[in-house]
Amino acid sequence: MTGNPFKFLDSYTRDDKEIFFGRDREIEEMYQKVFESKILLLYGISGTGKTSLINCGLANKFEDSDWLPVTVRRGRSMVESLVVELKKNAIPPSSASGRTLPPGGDKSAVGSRQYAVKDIKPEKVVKSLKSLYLDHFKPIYLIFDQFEELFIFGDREEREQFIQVIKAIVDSDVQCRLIFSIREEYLASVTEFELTLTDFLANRMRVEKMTRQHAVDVIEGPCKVHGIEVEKGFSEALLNKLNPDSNEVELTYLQVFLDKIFRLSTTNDTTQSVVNDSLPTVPSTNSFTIPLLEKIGDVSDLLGSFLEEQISILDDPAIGLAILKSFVSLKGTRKQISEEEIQDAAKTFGQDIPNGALKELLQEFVNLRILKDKDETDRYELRHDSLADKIYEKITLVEKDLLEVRQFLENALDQYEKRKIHLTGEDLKYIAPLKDKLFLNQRIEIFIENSKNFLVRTKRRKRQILSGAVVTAFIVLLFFTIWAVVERAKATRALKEKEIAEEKLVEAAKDFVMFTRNLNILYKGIENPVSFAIPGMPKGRLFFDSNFPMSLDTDENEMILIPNSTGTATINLSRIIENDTSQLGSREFDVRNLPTPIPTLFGKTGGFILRDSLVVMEAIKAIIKDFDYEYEFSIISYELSFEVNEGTIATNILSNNITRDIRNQFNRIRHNSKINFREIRVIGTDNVLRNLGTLSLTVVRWFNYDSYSVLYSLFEEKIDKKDWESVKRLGTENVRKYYWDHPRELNKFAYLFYLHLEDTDALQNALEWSEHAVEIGNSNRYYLFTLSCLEYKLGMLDEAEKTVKIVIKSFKDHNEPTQEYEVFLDQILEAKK
Amino acid sequence: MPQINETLIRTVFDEMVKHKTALQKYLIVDEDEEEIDYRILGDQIIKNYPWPVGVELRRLFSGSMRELDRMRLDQIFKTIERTMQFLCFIMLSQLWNDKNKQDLTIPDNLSKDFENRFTVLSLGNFAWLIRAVGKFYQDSKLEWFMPEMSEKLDKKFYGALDFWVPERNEIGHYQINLTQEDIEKRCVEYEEKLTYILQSIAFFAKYKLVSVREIKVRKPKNQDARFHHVIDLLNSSDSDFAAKEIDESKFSESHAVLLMKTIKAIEEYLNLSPLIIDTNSEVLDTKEKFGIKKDIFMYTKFRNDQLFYLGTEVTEKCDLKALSNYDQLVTEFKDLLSAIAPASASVEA
Repeated sequence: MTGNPFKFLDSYTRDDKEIFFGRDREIEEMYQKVFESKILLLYGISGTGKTSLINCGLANKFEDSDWLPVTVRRGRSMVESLVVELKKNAIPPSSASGRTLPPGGDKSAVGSRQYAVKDIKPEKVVKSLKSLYLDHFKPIYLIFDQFEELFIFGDREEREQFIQVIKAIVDSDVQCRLIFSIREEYLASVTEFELTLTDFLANRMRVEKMTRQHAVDVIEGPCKVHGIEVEKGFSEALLNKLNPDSNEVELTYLQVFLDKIFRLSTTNDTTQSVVNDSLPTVPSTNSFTIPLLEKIGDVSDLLGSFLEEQISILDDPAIGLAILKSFVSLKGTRKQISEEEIQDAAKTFGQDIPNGALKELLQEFVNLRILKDKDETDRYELRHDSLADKIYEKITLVEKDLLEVRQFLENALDQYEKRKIHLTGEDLKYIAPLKDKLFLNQRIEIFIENSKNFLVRTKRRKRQILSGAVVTAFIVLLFFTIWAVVERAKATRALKEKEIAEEKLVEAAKDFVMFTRNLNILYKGIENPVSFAIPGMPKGRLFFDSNFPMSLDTDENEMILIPNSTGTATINLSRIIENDTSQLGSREFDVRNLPTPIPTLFGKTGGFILRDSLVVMEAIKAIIKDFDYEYEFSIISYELSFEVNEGTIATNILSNNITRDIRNQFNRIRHNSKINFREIRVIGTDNVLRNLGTLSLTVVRWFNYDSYSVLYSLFEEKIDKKDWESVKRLGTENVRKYYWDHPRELNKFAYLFYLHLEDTDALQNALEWSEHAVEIGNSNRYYLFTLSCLEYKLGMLDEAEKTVKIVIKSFKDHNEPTQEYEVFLDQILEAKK
Repeated sequence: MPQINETLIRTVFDEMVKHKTALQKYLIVDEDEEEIDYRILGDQIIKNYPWPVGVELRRLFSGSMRELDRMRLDQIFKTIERTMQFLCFIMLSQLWNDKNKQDLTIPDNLSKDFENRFTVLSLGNFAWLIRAVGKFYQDSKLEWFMPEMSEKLDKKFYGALDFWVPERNEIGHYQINLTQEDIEKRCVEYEEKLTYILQSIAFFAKYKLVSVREIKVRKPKNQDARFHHVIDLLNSSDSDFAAKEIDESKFSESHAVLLMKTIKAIEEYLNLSPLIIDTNSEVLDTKEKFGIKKDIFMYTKFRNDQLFYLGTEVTEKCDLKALSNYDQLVTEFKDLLSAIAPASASVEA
């Protein structure tokens, strides 16, 4: 085998399976964990090989047909990058089910469309994911590599949007798992996600530094595959040289070291380590020996000296360094940037680099394996974070200040573009000392100028407002002086006009309105609230009087009347001014006896009652149904009879009470027998004696839920009482149990649930009944309609639309009207918008 | 001309609709679409077959298998093999059940060869077992757990199964070199044959495959006990199986993969243990267990008193000896053997 078996600063990919050694335990652990939850969080310090573990180790555990990796790196925003990647992997409709699968997917769609990030809704992302799954029929693995970039470069708004998208994905049934790879120093930032995604940190795995024992495999494994002989003791000697005092090995440094040795062994020239990948071809006699190791001097700062070496051989090292510095964030991590951004940033470091020269240098850095070649978004980045560390060490304090100000300005511009917020005076003061050294691009320059102008305009406007206020105050004072003189003259005239107005108010008051809860009807013997409204309100004390006892609460515009006889009640409105009483008007009401009540027991007026409920009943009641007033009659006597095993028990009771003795007898009532309350006599405060007839109930020891009428009447009773928990429980426990083979009943109960319940679990149950009713009920159109209603209520709008279309078609086929269902279809379509 | 997989999808889906009318909604074309989205029909087919069959169909439909090449050919074989294996296990599970419940006399030809056929499974043995058990049920007029089998398992079906055995022996094991043209031709031919088999067992859509993860007893004072079942639905297109909870006055069988007539109630079911097992609920708390993969496994052979299984999602070999119920599985397996082939109770390697 030929070629360099070491990866230098690159991570391993799926194709590197043969040369990926020393991570078997981690791969197994990750393979287990990736199935334990939809989310896997992989963390560890920089350089522990997280990316390689996923892209090579984990990827090779899967067959090609079981693994669709979608790697997402934050570009402008995390959500936007996700959408772009999904688009990139999608197959255009014409070939989705076909035999051709274009490599790289639908690139044109990515290039041609700019996404308005804030317009990307979570549900749209889920829809794209579903479609992507259907394109490939492979489980999707969303891999968020360098996830810490969200916390380094993203703002709160971006993070919040991303959290909502992830939540939507996790809550959906899309065949997708998510792997987040993050540097552990940013792990604490992730707790922000836990508020919405409580299990975000639950399934996590720490990637530790590699031990010496496994590092030996990393050295010797690839050598064996590539036919490179390794002298006994070489690996241990190499590790001693690289990490003299530690049992842990820095993988990045190990790879750089191995690369250097490999090149030395093939060319005998360590300075050739700068050349590109394709150069060496390993002769079969190639070997790694201890003398070879001794030839490489000091390796204490392998990466630092590598960088120094590469920069020093450039034509203009200062320009090269300025370019590299622009790839490092303020936190010392690497960042992806475009050529234009590099040019701007390099100016901050004092270098104005022409376009052509920049392109050449960037290509040179790519060849030197310091930079990765540009991606689809035309952005470059450093090959590894450890390079960023080294470059960061070379950035001076002044340059860091400049970078900080630049970063501040870029963020401020971003905020301005989103929310139109200009720089404040304080901000401008902050940037002023360094502004000339920043060499800002035109957009930021314009933004600063606009902010300054805005500030000037704001100040000027404030001054104008102040002087305006002084002038206005003088004019107002002058105006009031003139006004006072004129008003005095008017006062006499006004007095006269007031007297006329008072007369008008008196006239208006005569049109006062009064009404009871039941139009103009009052009931004898009870407190009747009467509301009133008096327009005009003339001077003096206004009062009502009546031929009935009465109390008045003027604050509430309501009085209470208690008529003591039937007939007509008259209420007068009068006013008193200086002991002079005059009547303004009167209204009349019809006074009636109270309506006849109906007897109830435990709220029941008939039907079934549980014996267990009966034995705790202490009284029967007589209530007026649908009466606007709270009122209860006194039951003065009734006859009670019921069946026990020994025969019938009958008794007369002279109150509404059910005594303890009788209640004890209730324990012996036969199942399914009647209990009758006859000759129920009541008297109300209207002093009218009424016979309410008979209240008859069927006593059951248990409810026969398999009796449709019993269950349905129970449902109605609970629905009347708005006892939704009981409705839900009754349905969940009994419908499936007793009516699974009865489509008509299934449909009826499902529709009841649809009408009255909002609880998702309950509606899901009803959906199951409804689906089954459709299935066993020959797709009856009424059952299908219930199904569509439930799908709609559960937010399954696509399903609901399809189902109701079948309903409409079926009704049309039967020449029956479809208007009701078409309206419902419109409602669904509206909701879909 | 239809795209690859399309004829299979449409034919099988149409047959499924006959058994599960609720699926017909997927045949309605949305106003904004020009034609039926075959991807959605394919997805429904995957979800409505039990997981061991569905997952192989998902692989067959996947983007990696849309070329008429050797990979597709192999996947078609894998799909038919897993389908026959699953059908065979259902039939044997029922036979074992029925034998325990009633005094069935297993015919000699079946009981005599059973041990040889069943301790090492192959496509040929699946075909033989399906035919032998099927014929026994037909001759004895016994009712199947899935009554549709009486009608669908006929001579034509058995003949269609027999087709695959020599083909597999010849091609599946790389005994002959095929030209690209041969491969393409066979891909098309095998897809048609596979379609027929899948069409014949489309009634599976009416049944649910579940894994009982846990059963908890809840017994309040003065009330009857209720059994809280946590089950995973193994009708899915990925292994993130949806969990469902059922509270019932009856109980099923714990840590078992069941074929159920309905998941609305614990009524009629067929326990497929020890032929199909689920290791997802195993707690990996000892070093010996670290090698156990979480997956749905199907029995493949019994040798040296040891059971061997094949994962449905995990494709690499996995030793399940460390499973906490492994001894129980071996006992069950021996019971199965002795029930169907009494002479083989002391089976040797």
